[in-house]
Amino acid sequence: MTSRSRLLAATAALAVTGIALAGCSGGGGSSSKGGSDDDKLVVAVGTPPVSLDTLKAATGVPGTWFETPAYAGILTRDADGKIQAGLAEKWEYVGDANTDFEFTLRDKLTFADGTPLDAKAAAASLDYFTKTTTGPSRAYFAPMTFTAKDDLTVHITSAVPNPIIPDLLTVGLLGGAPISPAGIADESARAGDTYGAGQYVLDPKKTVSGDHYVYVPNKKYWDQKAVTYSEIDVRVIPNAQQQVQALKSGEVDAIVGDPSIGGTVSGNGLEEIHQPSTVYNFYLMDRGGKVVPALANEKVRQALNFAVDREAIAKAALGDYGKATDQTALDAGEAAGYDPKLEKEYTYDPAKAKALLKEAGFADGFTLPATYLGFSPTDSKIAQAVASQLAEVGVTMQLKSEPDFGTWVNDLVANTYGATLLTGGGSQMYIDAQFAFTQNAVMNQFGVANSDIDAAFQKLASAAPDEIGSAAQGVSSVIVKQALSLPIATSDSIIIYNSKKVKPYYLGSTGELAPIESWPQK
Amino acid sequence: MLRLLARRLLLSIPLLLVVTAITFFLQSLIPGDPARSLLGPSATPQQYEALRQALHLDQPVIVQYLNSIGGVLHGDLGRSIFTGEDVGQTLANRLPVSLSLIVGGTLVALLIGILLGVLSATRGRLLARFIDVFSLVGGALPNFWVGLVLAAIFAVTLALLPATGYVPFEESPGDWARALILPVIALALSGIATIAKVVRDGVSTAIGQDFVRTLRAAGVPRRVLIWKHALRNSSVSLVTVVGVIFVASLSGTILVENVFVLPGLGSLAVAATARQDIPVIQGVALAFTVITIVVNLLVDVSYGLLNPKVRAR
Repeated sequence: MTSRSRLLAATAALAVTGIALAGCSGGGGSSSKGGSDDDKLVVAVGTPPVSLDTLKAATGVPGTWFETPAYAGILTRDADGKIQAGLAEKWEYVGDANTDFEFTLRDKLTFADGTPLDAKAAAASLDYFTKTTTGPSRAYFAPMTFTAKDDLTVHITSAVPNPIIPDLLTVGLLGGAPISPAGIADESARAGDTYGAGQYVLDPKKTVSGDHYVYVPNKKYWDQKAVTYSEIDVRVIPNAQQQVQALKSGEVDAIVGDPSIGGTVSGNGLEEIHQPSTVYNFYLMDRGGKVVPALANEKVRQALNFAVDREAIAKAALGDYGKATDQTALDAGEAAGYDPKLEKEYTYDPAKAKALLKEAGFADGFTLPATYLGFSPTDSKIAQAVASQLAEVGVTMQLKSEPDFGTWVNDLVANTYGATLLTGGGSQMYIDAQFAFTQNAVMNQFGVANSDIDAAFQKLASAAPDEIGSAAQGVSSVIVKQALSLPIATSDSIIIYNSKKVKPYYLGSTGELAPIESWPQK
Repeated sequence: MLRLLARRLLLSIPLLLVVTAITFFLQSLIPGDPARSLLGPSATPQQYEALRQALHLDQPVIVQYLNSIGGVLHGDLGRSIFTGEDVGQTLANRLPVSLSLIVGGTLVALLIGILLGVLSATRGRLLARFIDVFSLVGGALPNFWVGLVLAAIFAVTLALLPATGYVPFEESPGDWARALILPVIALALSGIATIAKVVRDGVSTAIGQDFVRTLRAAGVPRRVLIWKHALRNSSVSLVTVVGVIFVASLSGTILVENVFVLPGLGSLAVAATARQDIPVIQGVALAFTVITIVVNLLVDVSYGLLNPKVRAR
């Protein structure tokens, strides 16, 4: 061997040894390798969860992808979206007032850690969630109390009528997924680990927080037939193009798409499904006129709705993945409150908008400060398009684009902005109304009271099952006719996936995306 | 030599304090509120205040900083605001990924850079011109762009290597190497160009010096002259450059790890900054500073080994 080749060989050996030493020095189990195994599911999302704790986690897709594998709902939904048995095998309202409800758990259930999951544990979990959560479900659970009636039966008493208690007991809003006593006892541990009774359980050794989360089968899950994947990896890939690359190269099996990449990924088994899941909506929060006096006037709010060319904005910002709408409700089952008749309420008519402003005493327009989360290009496009069209009728929308969630929340609670753009709705009207329009709603930070909304909501809350649809439409009608909001367009949930591996699907009546752990393998 | 090292170590203490202080106070200027991010708009004012107190966010920034430093002195880097994980453990989990990338990138740059530099100095003008152009282009191309192009070609089009992800060495040495090839190349490119230029200049200069002519006259073979004696002539400047490249790679990892979705310190820094996870940001800054100090100490030691005059000081 020559001196040159010795030097090269020595350097190469040094390189390999050095890198290997670096690779070996701890950090075990941080694999984020792609999904080559046939029975392993790898999905990618853009942002890590705020927390794995169901009390703080985000609801909706993809936030629940970090939760539903490990937390099972007391009730669940079938492929049509109808409520089905879950951890509980029986459930029913007691009486006709929508205030008392009972469910009966299956016998001999346990959490993933082996602790028995009986009525006492379920009631304790529901009670803990209700009293402690800071998440969006707080308002819906708050009026309820929970009592273990016997070993397997839990009695729920709601201080106000609630027609959707079965829905709240599914995993969708997270409160209906029991947390084990160990989890309840250790709040900080729940942020980075799971304490449920779901089909899978987080494997902390294989998980690198913020990068990838690995779920392995829960051997104690009551229905082992439903545990079809050997592993579920939820990977955080921040950039949409990187997600597409990972999908194309076979490293992930499914990603959450957006209008910028929708329709651009195909071939080699890659397919796409999409379905309306939410509504882009300017919440007109200051309806009492504290910061923006004009917003207290119904005619002004109606003028804003007439001033916006929804068709043009939906086409420009969302393409095939959105549709203009006048209402905050989605056509997603009768409980959503969608009413096709309301769609013609605010046909684009700037002349009428100007006339209404004049009638209301704002012929010269007014200034409307509005805040929104600016990290989505689609949100920015919609916000700016709306501001531009409002300017044509004399309304100056002063947009504040916030770079992070915390700052945006500070804007809301400071009550200094009259409106905010957010995707919302798409759920049952009982939930949507409490999210945005009742006096204590999250998106009603100014606490504006509205007797018409209250009356319509009370009717919905007390409705018998066969009256829920019309009652929900009643609430929707008040929202639209009084222009309590400025809806723009529906927005689709888009899933791009490898059809050779997995088959995601939407639930029939509600249009929700099925939980990832229930996606059939091909 | 020992006095030199002791002096450098002592100087590293104020350096650590300055870096952690700058990091802490700069991040406190970023708009946002981690408590709000964690709680969302649904939380009551009481829940919000309780969380701020629990996270010590209600205290003045200077008090928060001093508490943080106090914890570090006791070996406690704190816990992530969002995940609740021990920051020290988080850093320990992610450090091997970044070290694999940085050590790999530096060694690849060293290996190829020396080879190209020596060939350029000894094999004529054409190669020298090529090295010049390569240095210019290699230094100008952003490593994240190189990474994206490499991923598009070798992962998506040719399906030879993964576009994203990391596999620990002990889990699968083969997959570990496959996962690192593209990021290491992306990170090494600018270093290769720099090292090649330094080596070419050093060897070219040495070849024209009297001691080389004497050795050649004494019958020492050409390859020994070049690879042993002339190359050694550029070793001090080479060590300096390698130290600089290693330290520069620390910042390079921030982009490269994000492009290839590697769970290292760089991607952790980005994620923690985005959501103002103060203890994690502090931990990453501390880790980067300590690595920089250690590398500079190693460079100083290398000077001593390579140059007896430094040893004597």
